[in-house]
Amino acid sequence: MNKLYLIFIFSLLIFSSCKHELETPSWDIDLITPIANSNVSIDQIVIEDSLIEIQSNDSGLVSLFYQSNLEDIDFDSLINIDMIVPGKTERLDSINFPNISISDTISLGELVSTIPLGSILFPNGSSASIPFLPNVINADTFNVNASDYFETMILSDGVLYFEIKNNLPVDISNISCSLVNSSNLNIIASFNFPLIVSGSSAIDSISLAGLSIDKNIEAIINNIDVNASNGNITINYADNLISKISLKNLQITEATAFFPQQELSREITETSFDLGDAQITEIGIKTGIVKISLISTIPDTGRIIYNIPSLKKNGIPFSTEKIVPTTISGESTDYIFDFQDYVLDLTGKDGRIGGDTINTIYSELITYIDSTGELVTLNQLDSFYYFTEFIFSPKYALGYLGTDTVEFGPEIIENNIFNNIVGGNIDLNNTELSVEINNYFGADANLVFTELTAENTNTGIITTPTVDEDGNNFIGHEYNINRATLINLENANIESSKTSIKLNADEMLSILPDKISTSLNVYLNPNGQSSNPDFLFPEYPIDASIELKVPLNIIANDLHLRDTSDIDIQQNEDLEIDKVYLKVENGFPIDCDFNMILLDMNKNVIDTLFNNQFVSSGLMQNNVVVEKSISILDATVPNFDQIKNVVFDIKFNTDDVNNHVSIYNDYTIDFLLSVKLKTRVN
Amino acid sequence: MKTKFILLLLFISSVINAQERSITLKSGLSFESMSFNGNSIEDIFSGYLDNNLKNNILNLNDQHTINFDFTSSLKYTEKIRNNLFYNFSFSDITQLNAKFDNDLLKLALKGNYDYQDETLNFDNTRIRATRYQQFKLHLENSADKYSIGLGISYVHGNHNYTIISNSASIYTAPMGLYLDLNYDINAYATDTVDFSLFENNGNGVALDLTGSYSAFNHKLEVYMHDLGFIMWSNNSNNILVDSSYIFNGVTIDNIFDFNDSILEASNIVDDYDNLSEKNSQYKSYLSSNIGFKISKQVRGNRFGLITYGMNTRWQPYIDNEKLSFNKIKQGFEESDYKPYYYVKTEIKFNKISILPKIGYGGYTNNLNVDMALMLKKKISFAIGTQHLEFLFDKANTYGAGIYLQIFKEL
Repeated sequence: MNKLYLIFIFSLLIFSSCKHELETPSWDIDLITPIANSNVSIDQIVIEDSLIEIQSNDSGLVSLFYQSNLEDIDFDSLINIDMIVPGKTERLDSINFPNISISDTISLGELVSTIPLGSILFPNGSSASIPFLPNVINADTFNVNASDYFETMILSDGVLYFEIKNNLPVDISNISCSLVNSSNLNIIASFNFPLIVSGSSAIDSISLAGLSIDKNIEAIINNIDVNASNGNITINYADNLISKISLKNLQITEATAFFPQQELSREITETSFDLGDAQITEIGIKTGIVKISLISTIPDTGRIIYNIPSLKKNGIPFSTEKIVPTTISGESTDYIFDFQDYVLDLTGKDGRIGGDTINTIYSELITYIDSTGELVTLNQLDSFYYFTEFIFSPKYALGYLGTDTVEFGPEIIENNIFNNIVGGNIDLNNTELSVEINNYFGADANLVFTELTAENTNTGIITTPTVDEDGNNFIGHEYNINRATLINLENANIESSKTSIKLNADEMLSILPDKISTSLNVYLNPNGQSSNPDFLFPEYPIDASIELKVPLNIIANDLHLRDTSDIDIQQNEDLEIDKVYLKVENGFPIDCDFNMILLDMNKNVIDTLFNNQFVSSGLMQNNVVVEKSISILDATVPNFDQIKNVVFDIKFNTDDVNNHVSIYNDYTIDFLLSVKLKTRVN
Repeated sequence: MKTKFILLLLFISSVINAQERSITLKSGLSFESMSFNGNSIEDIFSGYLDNNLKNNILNLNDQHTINFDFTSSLKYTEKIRNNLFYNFSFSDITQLNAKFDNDLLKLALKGNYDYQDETLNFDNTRIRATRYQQFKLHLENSADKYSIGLGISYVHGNHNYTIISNSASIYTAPMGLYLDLNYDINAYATDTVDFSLFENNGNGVALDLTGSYSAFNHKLEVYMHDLGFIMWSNNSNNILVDSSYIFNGVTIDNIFDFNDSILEASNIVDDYDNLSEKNSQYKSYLSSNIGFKISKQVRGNRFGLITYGMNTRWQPYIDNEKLSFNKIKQGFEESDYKPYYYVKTEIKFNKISILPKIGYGGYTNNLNVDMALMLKKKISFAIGTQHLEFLFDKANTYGAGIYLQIFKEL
């Protein structure tokens, strides 16, 4: 048996002898693949952080176009309105109180009843002769109740009328009456009438100035004698004697009364705005408010009606009515009215005496007190106080804008167009600098440049253009700017006037400037008021810009550009870039020597890619590129971990150093980048 | 499905009065190729491959076929009645089968840098890898002179990856200035969310048919095992690419806005728009064995049966047509398996048997020597290799493998 096992184990050993230490296989592979391609035309080139545009003319000649707006020339301050109209007080002494009239009647029947056996002696309807009856009415008192009108009044003015009408069939005489305040029995007034003929009346009055009266007044008839009749007369008990008290033209010092609703004041105001030399007749309001601040000490509800007939929206004048509560701690009640999109007529009131005016707003403020139906105590010192503030930002203004001078600048325009040129020469041809003015003002203006300089801050060289294309001395010359034309007021359709001042810039650009300084003065309406009304839209000022046009008609002689960029490339541990190939198909008439200098974080040179490798210009015939050149650049890629900056160092040359070559917009350059990669499997 | 199947087996087992029971545990690992010999396999698994090793591998052949099988199974056999047997088996199977041109191997081992201004062709490249479990119930009626058997299997699919390239080539321009790609590739992959070994991404069935007839001291057996398929689930990826494409890098519209994110792979894929990808079901076939063998008892006690036979395999790649002669032909061709002719016997030494087998064909073009050693006791053990020649002549050996079997009668 053991022999069997030995054989079996021996066999296992034979099998196991084939066992080998197996390891996971790994190997390196080298790949080569295109990565990226691009076709670049001159139109696609946008110089970073600059305002350069690429333009082409009809022939396709490319120009570099640089535009920089100067500060907008505006005159908004001419027509901005921010004004507080001084306050005004409306006092209670202007309050009116209605007339009060109270009467009392004594009939003949009542008089007869006071005579002993009178009704027997003088029955109603009988005919009798009446003897002289002295002292028929003696100390007869009747109450005059004015509680429907007031509780008490201290009057600064007013008249009390006392009237007796004799409707008896006989005359009366020796009439004596008194009016007494029932609360303190002070005599208000006394009246005496010697004779009142039958069918007539007698009236007398006293002034109430300085008097205090209560709601209850006692009228006392001290004496009335009845004169004898002339023969028999018909006794009619309905015949009577009427006493009437009237209070008229009351002026109140203080009163506790039921005051009726009444108008306190009606103020019509023309407010003129200080707009300097400008004479504005109409303003379209973009944003604007009128703020009315009121302080009312009246312990009754005040009310205002505020109208500005010359302020209209869609043809409807502005009008508003507001309740004014009694002030608390002297705080004002403010009402703010939004006048966005209103049109303000500044010619004053329609039919104004003396004719239309300018810069003037016409408004009406009517103050009221409302009746509450309750007893309210008012003092003549109670008042309304109000003031008004106008704040308008115009959308437009019509009229005459006046004469004004505005100084602009110095404005400094910095550019980086030439910053990266570190050597060599570039010869430009037919460059053009122009100042383009677009006037949206409906007013004439003159523009005078006081400064225009170009400076290369690296070399310190400064140039100033001398004459314009018309031969005028540029600095100090008055350039006339025509007024714009208003086509449609509603949608601000303005046909601007354009003024172009052109200068030859070859000399300026020859110093490769990086700074341009400009100062100028603008004179508005230099010839005074025009027969055509001026207009101004604040959103449409005078636009002024400096435009620089550089046709790419150049001679480059070792034009040396250098630019440094930061890079931070993390090397892929699995995929190592070993080599790069750059295929360049150049359709531009310019050769270039190309270097990419790689720097570490301390700006030390680590390596140079594409070291002085040459990209030749396209094949030219008759100064035009007819075929692209093909150049293939290659470089071994170092370890990018250390590389923090790349310096692009390029020299450009045109073939012929004596003749300019033109760059056309159909010229393109193709790039194709391929790389050799190394990677390890497993 | 699995549970019901197992319950059915338990039911059958419990209701029958069974006798002559046995249980067998088998496990086998096999690698075979028509091009990779023993030396190259050792080279590949020696660690780092330098250029010399790469060149050695690339000089082997213009076309390569490889097959890898790793199968473990447990089989229970029981006699139900006089002539009626059944067996139930559970198998765990992993297969990798590939056929590809040498140019693909060049690209994989060296990359394309060394092949600038050359075209690398990968026509008729096919790769498939499948992992699944199989639950099989087989019934056999065995009489004196004949027998007939029928088996049915439920297949629990785990993962499948299939790449079929009818035509593909890549031309690399000098300095890599462009790549000219031509390809017609179908790729299928089961759900890649879960890679666990027993993830269920598909289900299938398989059929076994066996028969034998004995006459004149010879026994003829014919068989067809595991004729079946797996239907992979709806979550599977179907990728179809058919295009000619010249790649010259990502086109950058604005070179002045260039950054490395432009070169991300997603942008390159976006740039290429002839790729069709969808999730849907697809079918893959099992590698089924079809063949016959003739056995005869050799005189004397020293030898057991001597058996001659031929085995073929049927496994089409895609389910592109219904069953027909063309389909049958397609399955044999696409199995990449040549008819395997063999002869084997048993040499008995008391409790030990040697089981030699000599074959030709299969996944190799060479003669293979299969040798196993069996120890017969209450529990029998057998260990063997399909390529004994690997131990002695690696240069002329195109396969390696080992198998183990444990058998016990209950």
